[in-house]
Amino acid sequence: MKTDADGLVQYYATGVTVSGKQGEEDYFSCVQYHHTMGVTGQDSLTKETINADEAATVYMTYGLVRQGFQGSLVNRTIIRKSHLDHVEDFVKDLQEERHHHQELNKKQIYPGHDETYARGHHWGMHVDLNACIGCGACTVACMAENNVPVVGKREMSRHHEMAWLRIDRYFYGDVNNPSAVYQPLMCQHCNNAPCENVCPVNATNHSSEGLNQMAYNRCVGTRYCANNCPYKVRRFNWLDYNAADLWPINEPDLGLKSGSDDVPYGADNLTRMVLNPDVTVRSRGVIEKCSFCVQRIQEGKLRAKTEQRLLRDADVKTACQTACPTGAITFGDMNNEEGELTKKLASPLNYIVLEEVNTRSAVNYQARVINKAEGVDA
Amino acid sequence: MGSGPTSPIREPLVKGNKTYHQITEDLCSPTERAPSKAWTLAFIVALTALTFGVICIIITIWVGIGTWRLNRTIGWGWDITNFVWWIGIGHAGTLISAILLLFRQKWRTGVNRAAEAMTIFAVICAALFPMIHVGRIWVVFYFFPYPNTRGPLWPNFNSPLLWDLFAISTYFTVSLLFWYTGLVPDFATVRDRAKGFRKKMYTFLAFGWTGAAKHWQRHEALSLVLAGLATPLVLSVHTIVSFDFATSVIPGWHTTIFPPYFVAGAIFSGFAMVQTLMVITRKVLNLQDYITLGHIESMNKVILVTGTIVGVAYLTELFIAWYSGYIYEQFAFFNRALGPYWWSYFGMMTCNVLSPQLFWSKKIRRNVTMTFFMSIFVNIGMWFERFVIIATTLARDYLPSSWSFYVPSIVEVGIYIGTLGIFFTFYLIFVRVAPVVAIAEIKHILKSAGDQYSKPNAKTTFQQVESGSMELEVAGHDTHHDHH
Repeated sequence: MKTDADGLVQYYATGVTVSGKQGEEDYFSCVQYHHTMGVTGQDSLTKETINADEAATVYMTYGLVRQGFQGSLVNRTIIRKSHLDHVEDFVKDLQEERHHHQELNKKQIYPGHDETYARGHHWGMHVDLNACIGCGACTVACMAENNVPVVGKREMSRHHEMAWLRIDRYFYGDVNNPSAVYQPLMCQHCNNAPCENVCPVNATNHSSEGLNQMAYNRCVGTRYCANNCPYKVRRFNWLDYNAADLWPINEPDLGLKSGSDDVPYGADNLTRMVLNPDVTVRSRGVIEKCSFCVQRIQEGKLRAKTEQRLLRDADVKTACQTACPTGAITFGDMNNEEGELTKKLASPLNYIVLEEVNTRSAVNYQARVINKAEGVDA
Repeated sequence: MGSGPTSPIREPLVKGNKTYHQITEDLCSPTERAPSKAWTLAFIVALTALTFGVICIIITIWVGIGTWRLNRTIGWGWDITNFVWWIGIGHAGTLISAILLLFRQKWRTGVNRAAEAMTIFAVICAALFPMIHVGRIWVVFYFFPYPNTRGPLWPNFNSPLLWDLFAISTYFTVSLLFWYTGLVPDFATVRDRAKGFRKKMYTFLAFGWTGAAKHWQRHEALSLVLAGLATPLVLSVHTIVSFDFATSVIPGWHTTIFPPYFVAGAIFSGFAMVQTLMVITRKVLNLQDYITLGHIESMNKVILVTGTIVGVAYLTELFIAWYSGYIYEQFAFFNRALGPYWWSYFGMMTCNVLSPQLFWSKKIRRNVTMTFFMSIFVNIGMWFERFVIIATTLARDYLPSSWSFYVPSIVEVGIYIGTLGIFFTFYLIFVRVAPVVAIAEIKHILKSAGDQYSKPNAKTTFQQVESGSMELEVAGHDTHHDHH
């Protein structure tokens, strides 16, 4: 790093030239591909504006069958957005659609556990897609709080990243000048969770407070829950990322051997001070996922109890919530009438991702409302 | 079994004018002579594959599932594909021994022994995968519902994986008992001819069988009871395996058509594997008189029927995906056929739906070489089917942000090769130890289905049909004939 006369770091460089490396191709790792949801472009033959998404989804062409089908990436019930000009119609349509899904979801054999969740705490979350700027501070905060392993380039390129909370990014609009929408996605703590009923050993189950919880000790590692999660938020410990069992052969070489003593990065005593003592370190072969910062919930409940008062919003804030610079994430007790979360949940723009699957998720998203003229950058 | 006169139109099931003694000689001799060069070579190859597989399994357990290339989106790949494939193969044996017994199909006697053995070995290979695909094999006993000090904490009876455990262990137990029950009289036959150590071994294996009427009566009673128990299992086991997928919420998995579709596919692939083994076994052990072209043709008919059922299921799936009007379901099938794994869908369709249609031709049904290649095609196709259902479906489901792609690592491929090694090692040992064709059962049908007993009729019926020299005018018989 360059420093000036006073010893201050200077974040600029002069006399930079382009090396001979230009034009060469190399691999780099990224967590997500560049996915689209509603990108439009001009058909080269007909000059009509068409959905350009499908081109990316077709590998094999059998003669005429090559255009994909309209809507494969446009009408997914994941991202909801509307321009400010038609927001009223949008809200009406959204409400109608949600009502339709909810009516269908009521038709089931099992009575469910709604009465249990109506008592005591019922934890939930609200994410405002209008406020989210996709900075990733929540992801970093989550990893620091919950001892989520940092797996390195090689593992990440194999899609082994462990992040409990990720920012999904989808592009929409003109294919030559697309806009992006960001969606923080963590475990939705479904109240009718597909992951829970498929676990053969009951390692994942539902608490009376609506938390979808993991018993790491009980987990055998069939990965059935991860397969059956529509949101794909469950993470499997493919290798011993945290040096939790200290068999040297199990240490993935992340290129991070610390110093000369050849101790694996994660097993170094100084490095291990980065771990949060309130959170279990997971061993190889178990599934983990967002816990709604259950350690913070327990701490908040305990504080309220020792102070002999009801729990307040301020007692429990998740790591992602505290890190978010724009206040896009609100966590709280859905049964607390006075809470901030209850106010946010009243918005008519709210929706649940994949509501028709009847997962009864505890995370509400507030639809994005776009307020910019066509073709304006940023 | 064995009651009632055989219609003279039927082809004899035992050829070559066999006497009871000759049957004993023919079927016992492979266990009595020194192994041939072909056998030794095959055994070395199988054992090498087995060893490679064991090494790969040890690597998996020691280092972790990270030695495979599964990822956060695709949690099951070759492991569960192979599991379902092997379980499917393990369906022919019990179908032949139980359901065909109830339907009084006498041709089953020529192939039931080997098919049941194949079932047992295939189930062993299959059961390996659920065990080693878990992250922590050392706590796999959590699956079992036994009283414990953890609460007690029971497994989750809602989970299809737990149903799998019960279904497969039941199936394995009943198949093994059924197989062994049939083997007891034959082991006694081998025992009575053996000397020295072999005599001791077969004395133990034959459980003191003397051939007394009482023994036969109990033997028949037990066979019937086991057939009754095994019959529903043929249908239930793969139904339950299909529940692993059908009860999920993933588009392409969440399908009510799966149980019948899986059962048909299982019988389809099972018969194909029986054909692969039988075509080789009858040639190497010189059993053409017991496993005749008629046997091969019968099994090819089953392959044709089940292959067509599977084909109808594939088309129904496509139609329902479109008809559902649900974009995720539509996209799942669109992705199967045209997505990055299009080649596996293409392989599945070609091998499973198109190629068995050749069996409409009698000439091809009775052609040993064609049968052999077709049986290999079917098994490749059925492997692709499971790969399409498992990996392709998981690769691109609801959230495009999590879409991924999957290619197996050498360890995963090695475990698959290893199970092939286990399968063939066991099979090769089996042909050396036990009579490959059920001696007692062949003797049972000799008087009704041996060629010398239907000779006068045979002259004017099947032999001329086979040689193509005569137009048949027997009522109810297929008058069309092929030239060989």
